[in-house]
Amino acid sequence: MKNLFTKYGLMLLSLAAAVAVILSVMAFFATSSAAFPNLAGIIASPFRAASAAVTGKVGGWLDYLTEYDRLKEENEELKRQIAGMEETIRQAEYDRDENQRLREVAGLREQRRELSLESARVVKQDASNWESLLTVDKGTSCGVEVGDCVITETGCLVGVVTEAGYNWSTIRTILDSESSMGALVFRSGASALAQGDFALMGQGLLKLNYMGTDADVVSGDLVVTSGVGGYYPSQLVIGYVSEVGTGDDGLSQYAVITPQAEIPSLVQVFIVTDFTIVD
Amino acid sequence: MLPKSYLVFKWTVYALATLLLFGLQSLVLDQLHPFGLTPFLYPMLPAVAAMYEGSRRGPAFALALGVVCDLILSGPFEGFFTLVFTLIGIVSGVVAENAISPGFLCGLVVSGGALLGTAGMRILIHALSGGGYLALMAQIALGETLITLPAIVVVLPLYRVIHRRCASDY
Repeated sequence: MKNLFTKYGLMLLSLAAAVAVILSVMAFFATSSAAFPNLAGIIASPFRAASAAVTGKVGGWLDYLTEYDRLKEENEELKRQIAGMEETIRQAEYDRDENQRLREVAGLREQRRELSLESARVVKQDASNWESLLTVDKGTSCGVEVGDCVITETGCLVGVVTEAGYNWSTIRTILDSESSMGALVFRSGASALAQGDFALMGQGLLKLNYMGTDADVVSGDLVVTSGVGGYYPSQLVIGYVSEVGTGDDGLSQYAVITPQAEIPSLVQVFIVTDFTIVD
Repeated sequence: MLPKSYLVFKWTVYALATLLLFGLQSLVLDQLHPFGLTPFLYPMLPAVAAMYEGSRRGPAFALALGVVCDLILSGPFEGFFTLVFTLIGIVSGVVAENAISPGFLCGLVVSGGALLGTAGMRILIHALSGGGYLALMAQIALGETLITLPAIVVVLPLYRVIHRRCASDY
């Protein structure tokens, strides 16, 4: 063992350190993705797409074989939900007309909510035990930028773009322990911070922190993005409160959120490249 | 065959085999979640390669592999895999040359060390940046190592065949 760090070994370690520093500096100064990772991402794109296609196909066959009964039941349940939602839509249309009339009477600005969306296919679910990331097949060539929000087709929040290459992007999901976003409890309006939590990440859950002692939150409450600061759109569905607890200090409250987006099984997502919201 | 072209051939075969193992990770292992964890094959590759190739050529391969992993994977910081894999390459090469002769047992030891070492470095960086859940992270590191180690039955024979065939050719 005496020659563990020979001159050659030290030279290689120094070289590794130099490479690491170069990669870090390039990543720090790059506005989107640094040149080498970008190039690696471009080269890896067809392989990722092929891999996603193969796993999608195999997964589809396995689902057909093993989950036929469950999917049939789910289909029936969804039909019942649609019937209920049609009634809600009729009521919402009536309410919208009434709201418009009242806004005109009161001289208020019209509410607007415009999201520019870019559809993207999930080509890699980073199944690491340490992070929760997705790779999609759209990048800067389609106007995607670091910091863009990512949602599902039903408007549920998936995460935020953390790296954007030419034809690929990496999304840090809301489950990741480094993920943090302003949130609101829809029913009570209580504001908080929806944060990924390492202990909950493996269970597909996240945490609602900094709620204060008297925040009105109960199990089953809907949690949406607050949009505070204008960095992310407001009213994007994060999930539902599944548990409310008291923090280690015995004063603050926290809640556990079950995200509405089924992140592990996502195939397609929508990147919010631009948004205008007038409340 | 000239030594230079022999070297190019050998490392090209190593690179192709590694590409195959990358495919194994993304197509098969990423879909498996035994005990809620996903096997993480990558640290095993520089360890096994360095075990066969020794403490001079092994770390060079490990460095190259680390750069590739840094470009395609997400680590605690840019260059994480380059540094950690080079270190794994040096240690594995030295262990195989001085302590345990290359083979299944040595492969198991250096692979286990590589997996625990990589996860341990993550935990250390997390701890240094003030993060919590260290006990949970240690459990995950151990679990990840245990569920990944069986993959040695694929990695070890593949690299051994390349090492032996290329050595006998030369």
